[in-house]
Amino acid sequence: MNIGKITNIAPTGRFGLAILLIFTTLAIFAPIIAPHDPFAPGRPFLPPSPEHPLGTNDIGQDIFSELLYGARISLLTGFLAAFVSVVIGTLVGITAGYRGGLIDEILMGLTDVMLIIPGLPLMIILAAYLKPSFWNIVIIIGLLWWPGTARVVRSQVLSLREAGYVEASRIMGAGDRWIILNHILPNVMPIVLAKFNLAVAGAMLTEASLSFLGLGDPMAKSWGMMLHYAFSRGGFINGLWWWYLPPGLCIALCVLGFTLLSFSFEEKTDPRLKRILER
Amino acid sequence: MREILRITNLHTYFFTPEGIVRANYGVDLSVWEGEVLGLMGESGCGKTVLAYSILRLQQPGKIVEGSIFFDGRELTRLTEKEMEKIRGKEIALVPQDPAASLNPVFTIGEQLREIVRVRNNERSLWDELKSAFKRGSKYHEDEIVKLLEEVGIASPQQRMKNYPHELSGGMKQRILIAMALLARPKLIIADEPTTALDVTIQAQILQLFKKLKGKTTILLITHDPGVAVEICDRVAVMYAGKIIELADTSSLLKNPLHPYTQGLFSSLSFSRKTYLPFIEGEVPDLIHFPQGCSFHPRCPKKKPICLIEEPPIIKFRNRWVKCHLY
Repeated sequence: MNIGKITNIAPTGRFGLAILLIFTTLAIFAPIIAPHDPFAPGRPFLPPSPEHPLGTNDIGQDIFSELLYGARISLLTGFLAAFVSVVIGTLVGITAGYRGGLIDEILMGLTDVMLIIPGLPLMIILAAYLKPSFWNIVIIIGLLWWPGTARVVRSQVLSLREAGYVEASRIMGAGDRWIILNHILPNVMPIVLAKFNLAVAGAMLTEASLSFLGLGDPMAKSWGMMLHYAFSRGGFINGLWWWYLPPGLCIALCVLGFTLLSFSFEEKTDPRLKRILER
Repeated sequence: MREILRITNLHTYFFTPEGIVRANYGVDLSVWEGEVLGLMGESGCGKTVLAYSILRLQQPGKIVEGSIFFDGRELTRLTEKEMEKIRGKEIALVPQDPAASLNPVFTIGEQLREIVRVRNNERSLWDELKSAFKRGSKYHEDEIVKLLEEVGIASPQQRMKNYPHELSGGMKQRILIAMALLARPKLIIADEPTTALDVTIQAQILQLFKKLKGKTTILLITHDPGVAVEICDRVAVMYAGKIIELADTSSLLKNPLHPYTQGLFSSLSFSRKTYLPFIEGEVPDLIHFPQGCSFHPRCPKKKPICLIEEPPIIKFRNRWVKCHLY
């Protein structure tokens, strides 16, 4: 399985990957690249200048540095929340699809309930009740994003379970755990990966929404928090575009990157999609 | 010679909304150590169900009655965990469809190594994770290569790096036979190993089975009388979920006793000037058996008793037959 081969994915996917690599690099090397300490106050409401490439905010923190540090929190939240959701989704999907019967009914019923509940309001309630912190946001998003993965994985497992090679390996004396680890899991991995990418995009958006509504961790600098402060402290009203536009664009670009990458993964797992997309 | 497998009065039923499908309806069969026993019969007569029942993989069917005695153990009483240790290690099965039976996402080598790990009983969670993530690294390589050469795979090291779709049907079947042999089982069940292959490849695979003859015990399932005659020591003929005749190959070929067997072999050795003889009618549907002998609606030699009473299985000069004629 070489789904990771960069040369093998479609140009759109490579473009998405490039965006993500740039942002990841910026996030990792934020302390080196950032011209200022993003928490250090200074002169407020400065317009862009060589000293402050994107000006300063209401308490005089350098917005460009904030942006770089924000990439860390936003990407990390996205990755961790997506990871949590994909792990739960894969476990539920494989269990339901492989076991079938009553367990399948119960798990899929639960999945349906989770799918029906409007996500954002529930997350707002949860975020409001729990203390707004980085880990709480990760867990809340992770716990609400798994049903999609679970459904897709389950349907794939339903067909894999009946595959000739699964039967053949049972004939050769393999147990359930063996079959799941050695035959089912590797075969659902491409789908899980595609879902993971989409989940990162979704989680980043959700994190931004929650933060924008003021339910994020107030001490962490994420892009959503930047938007929140730009909105609540007069950035929008006074037309200080260098304050609210960059974080918004960054979120959009990252989501675009993950989505493009996810599409190209899905295309690889299901070549029929390619033809549909080209039509 | 030792009896390695004895099946007595085996009933495997499938409970469907339409009724009970009696796929195996009182099967009696013995396999001797070292022999090649052919199990012959039409499609849908219960051959494959019998093979899967032996491995206790007949689900969703249920073994309702009967016993399967294998090498001193009663298989119908074993737990699933105990069965897992018998499958592959002691009884291996070569599946019907070589194309579907190999996992498309792994190379041949990776899948062969997997069998070695199963055989060596590496069954702890740690072992299984190791197998899942280290399938690429070498493991018992010499043994696998030697075995592949034995089953007639040229340049085995090269082939082990191939994915299943890169190999021909015949090669895949050889790989599956190698997989079955890899665990050095006491009994190999070959479920129509030549059905999915074209005739020239069939001949090669049959040659391979001939080579294996004597080294291990083989239960060869086939619907082709030609295949059965070619390589088997004894042949059992199955009809509608029962064994109706059992004899050594030469006497069965020379003098088939049951009218059904006679019909089968007459279609094998017809002269070119006449039409191909065939057995009239169809295999009875396994839900609604005809009363009496299940073959009577198609039987050219039926007597009044055949319609009422099921014939017992009788020993007739070192062979068995289930028919009122004898």
